[in-house]
Amino acid sequence: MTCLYARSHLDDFLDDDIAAADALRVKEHLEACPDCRAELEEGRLLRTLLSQQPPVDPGPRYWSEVTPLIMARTVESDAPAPERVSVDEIVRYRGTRLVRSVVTLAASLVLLYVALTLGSGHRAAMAKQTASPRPVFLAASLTGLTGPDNFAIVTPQEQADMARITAVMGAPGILGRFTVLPGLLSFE
Amino acid sequence: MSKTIPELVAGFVNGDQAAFAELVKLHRRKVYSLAFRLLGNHLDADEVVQETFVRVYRRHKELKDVANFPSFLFRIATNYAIDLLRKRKGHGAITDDTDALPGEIQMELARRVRTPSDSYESKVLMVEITRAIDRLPPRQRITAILHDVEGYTKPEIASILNCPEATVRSNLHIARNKLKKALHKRLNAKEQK
Repeated sequence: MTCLYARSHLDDFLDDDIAAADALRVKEHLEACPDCRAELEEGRLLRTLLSQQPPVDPGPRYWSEVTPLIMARTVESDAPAPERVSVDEIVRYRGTRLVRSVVTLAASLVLLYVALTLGSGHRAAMAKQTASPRPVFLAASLTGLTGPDNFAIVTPQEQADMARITAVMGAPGILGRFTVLPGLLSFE
Repeated sequence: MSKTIPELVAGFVNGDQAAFAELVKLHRRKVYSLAFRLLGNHLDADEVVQETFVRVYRRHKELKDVANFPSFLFRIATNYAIDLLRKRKGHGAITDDTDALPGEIQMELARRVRTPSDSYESKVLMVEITRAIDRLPPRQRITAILHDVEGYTKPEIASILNCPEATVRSNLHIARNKLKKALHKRLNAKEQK
């Protein structure tokens, strides 16, 4: 038997998990080969040390915490299904939801009306001051301004466009925005 | 009269929840020990323990033979542990920072290591063995741990890992050679004493 063959069987020999005929041949080789004997002893020592690795246990406190978690995810999660809800309860629940939706919609409409009313009141007050039904920033005419070449710096159309853009972007605030709505809608 | 494990398993398969609770108590430490040795840290071992028993519970109908329960249990545990190992590999291994563990667990794990009175060398050797095992590829690591540390036979390991026995022998042989190479100096020093 060669050393290569013997060493390929050393593990099984150590584990006592080898055919009798092979075990005898390995034993005979080991008696004659000090290198393979040293290899065997090293393997035996390694096995002993590995088997002596201390057990790993996180302790009773860990188990008292984790075992209920395991039960909760397994046994206890198979609890019986909740009782079926009656038709009356479903109808009552849907009715309540409908009422809530209607109330919310009504409140939104009231707020919108109030905002529009306040806005038009503001517009009326501004119109009195400037003697013009148009919003303040449209009342001041810029068409009289001309540049060095006598062309108007801002045409009336450009002025109206600027007013619309400013209103949409919210510069005058919510009340100002609503005051120009009639003007925007009529596209004067 | 307390039931045997086959009786508990038979009860569990038939839906006996008390039997399942008892099986958890009987096997939880082994599952934790295996997972801790494979993954090297408490957090991952904890995840493996919980997930293993949840999966065993949900898949109990797959268990055809009550005698195969240990293989069934540890197959689920090792497969999940290998998956975790592969995930961690991609994101950097979690080192075993025992300082980050709850105090009670640190104390308990430390208690299991040889005491200083045994010898400083023994402690160092044990740490080196652990590190050498950690450097093995997953399949070789699992085979060496199951056989040489936890004491399972080769047929049992083949059943757990769902592979031929020849593969188990081959992995064990390669793992032992690598460990001998890594620990050569330490083993020789110990032999000479």
